[in-house]
Amino acid sequence: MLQIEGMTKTFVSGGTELHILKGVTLRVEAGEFVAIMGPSGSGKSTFMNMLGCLDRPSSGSYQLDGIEVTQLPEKKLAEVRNRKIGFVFQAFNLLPRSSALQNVELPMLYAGLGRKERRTRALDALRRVGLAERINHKPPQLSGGQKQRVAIARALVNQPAILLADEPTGNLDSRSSVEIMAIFQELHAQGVTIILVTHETDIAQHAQRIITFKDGNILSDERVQEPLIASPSEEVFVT
Amino acid sequence: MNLLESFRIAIEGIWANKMRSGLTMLGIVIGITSVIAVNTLGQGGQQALVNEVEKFGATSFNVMVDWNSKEEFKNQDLTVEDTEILTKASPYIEKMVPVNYGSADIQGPKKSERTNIMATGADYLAIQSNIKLVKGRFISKDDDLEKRAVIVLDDQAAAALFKKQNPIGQRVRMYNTSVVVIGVVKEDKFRFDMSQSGTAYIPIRFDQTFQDEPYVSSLLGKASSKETVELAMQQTKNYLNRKHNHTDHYMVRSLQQELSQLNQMTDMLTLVFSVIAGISLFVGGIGVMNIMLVSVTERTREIGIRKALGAQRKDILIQFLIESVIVCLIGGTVGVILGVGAAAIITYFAGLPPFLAWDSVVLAFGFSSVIGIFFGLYPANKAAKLDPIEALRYE
Repeated sequence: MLQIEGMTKTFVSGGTELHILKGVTLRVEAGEFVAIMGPSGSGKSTFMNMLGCLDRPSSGSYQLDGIEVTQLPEKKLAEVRNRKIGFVFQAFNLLPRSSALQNVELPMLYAGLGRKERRTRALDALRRVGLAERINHKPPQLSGGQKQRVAIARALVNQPAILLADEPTGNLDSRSSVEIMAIFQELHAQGVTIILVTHETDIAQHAQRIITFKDGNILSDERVQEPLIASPSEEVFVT
Repeated sequence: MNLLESFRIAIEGIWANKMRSGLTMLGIVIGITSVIAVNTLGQGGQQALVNEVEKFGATSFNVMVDWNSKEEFKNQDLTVEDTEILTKASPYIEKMVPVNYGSADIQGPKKSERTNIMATGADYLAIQSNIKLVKGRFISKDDDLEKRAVIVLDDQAAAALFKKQNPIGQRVRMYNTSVVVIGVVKEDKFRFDMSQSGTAYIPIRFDQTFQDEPYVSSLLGKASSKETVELAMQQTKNYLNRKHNHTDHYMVRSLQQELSQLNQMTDMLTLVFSVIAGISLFVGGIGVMNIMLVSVTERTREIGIRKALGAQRKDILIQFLIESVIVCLIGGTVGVILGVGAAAIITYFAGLPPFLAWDSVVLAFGFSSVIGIFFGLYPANKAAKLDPIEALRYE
């Protein structure tokens, strides 16, 4: 599913070279739920950008769903982001003037899907995250947890190979955080491949596997023996 | 992504910043309004001139002694007899009359009035098709030959001297002589003629009785057709030079020649004003670019999100380009409406026939789209080239 070998990333800043990633090798199978941890400056954010095809490594290879993406031209890379990757950000990153439905439709717009199909699939995705009642609300009218659920629906709507979540609970209270983790676990149960970046240990404990970064390298890669089960007090409809 | 969606997004963007978009449009509105108004007025004015000339006789021409002539000036350089000979001899000249212009105080029954005097022959009315007889009769051949003391007034002079009285048969005094009013004419004035005083017509041979040495100041001719105007003019010139022992002593001009000169002048004026209007349009375009740059900076994060979700460079480029084109097109539409309206109001008050410069309307729309693309391209390209990581980090 996802195969990374010897990935490095070097930035040049003020004449000095900064080695952010120093030869990372990693393999993630389809359907896995992986958490990436590490202190700030460990290279995990840069690694996340590489996984999301937002940036290119200095060297090494990255195969996503059988495609070597490191050499792809800009245009193809945008296509990969559109079809193969679903992003969930800490800051939600919804378009503030567009409704929940329009936000979820956005990736399909760039995929060139027709109006009817976009609508059907967006409604379906919003239903999956339990927001069928709020499709016409705009982000400022939604709570943090609801915003993140719109973002998850948007990430899922093009049926991506991987779902990349960068500190998805970073801006949420604990109750909303549990709700969001419950959704991730439910999606995982349905077979979605999820890679989650977090610095919170208890959040990471919801995943099956925890990879810890330090100084641009993988420090540890461990299976979670008994993942935490997120059980929100309020029922969240994930169907 | 299809174009329709791009339009929707662009219109949303414009709508979200109504005030700002409106002010940006204003620059385009003013530019297009002035371009349209200037062109419509310029072309409308020219069209009106052409119409007037058609009406006033595209076939008529005027003969005078050339004031720049190096040859000796004589009082008999033009004579009444010349017109009679030329009319008979030339197949291209249909009619010709001598004309003396002047002005005199005419003493009516109640008051005296300064009036333009036009001393001419019987065929004058047949040449000046814009002058029509309303009452009585015009100067006849016999009036002229017998130097009768008769006068024809135009409606303006008649009204000034006689108020509502019937002037026919009444006597007025001019040149210290009593003359009889025999007719009233109405002049469909040349639209660009601003003169306020009335005109009176007298037989030219009668006029010459007041001169120590009779003279004629100009001849007015009518060619047999539009095509023969040049020939008629040439023949007249040749004949006069030969007859009066000159080589190149005369100036012959047709209304059409004067029209083309006038056209050159209005063309020049229109061009100058168009350039000024064009500059204001250009400034408007810079305003659009400025606002688009602000908009791109403001929406950096939005661009980052769109790119992360799979927007291609061209998607972003088109989105912003369409936005600036729409701003310019709306501005252009309003400008066209205002420009046509302004021109209509001005032509109405100036008494010109209504005129719509379709080509400049079409041009204005084309031009505002080009401005939208030209001034939108740089900001849109800047947006399209944004690095998604940087853009997502932007606060």
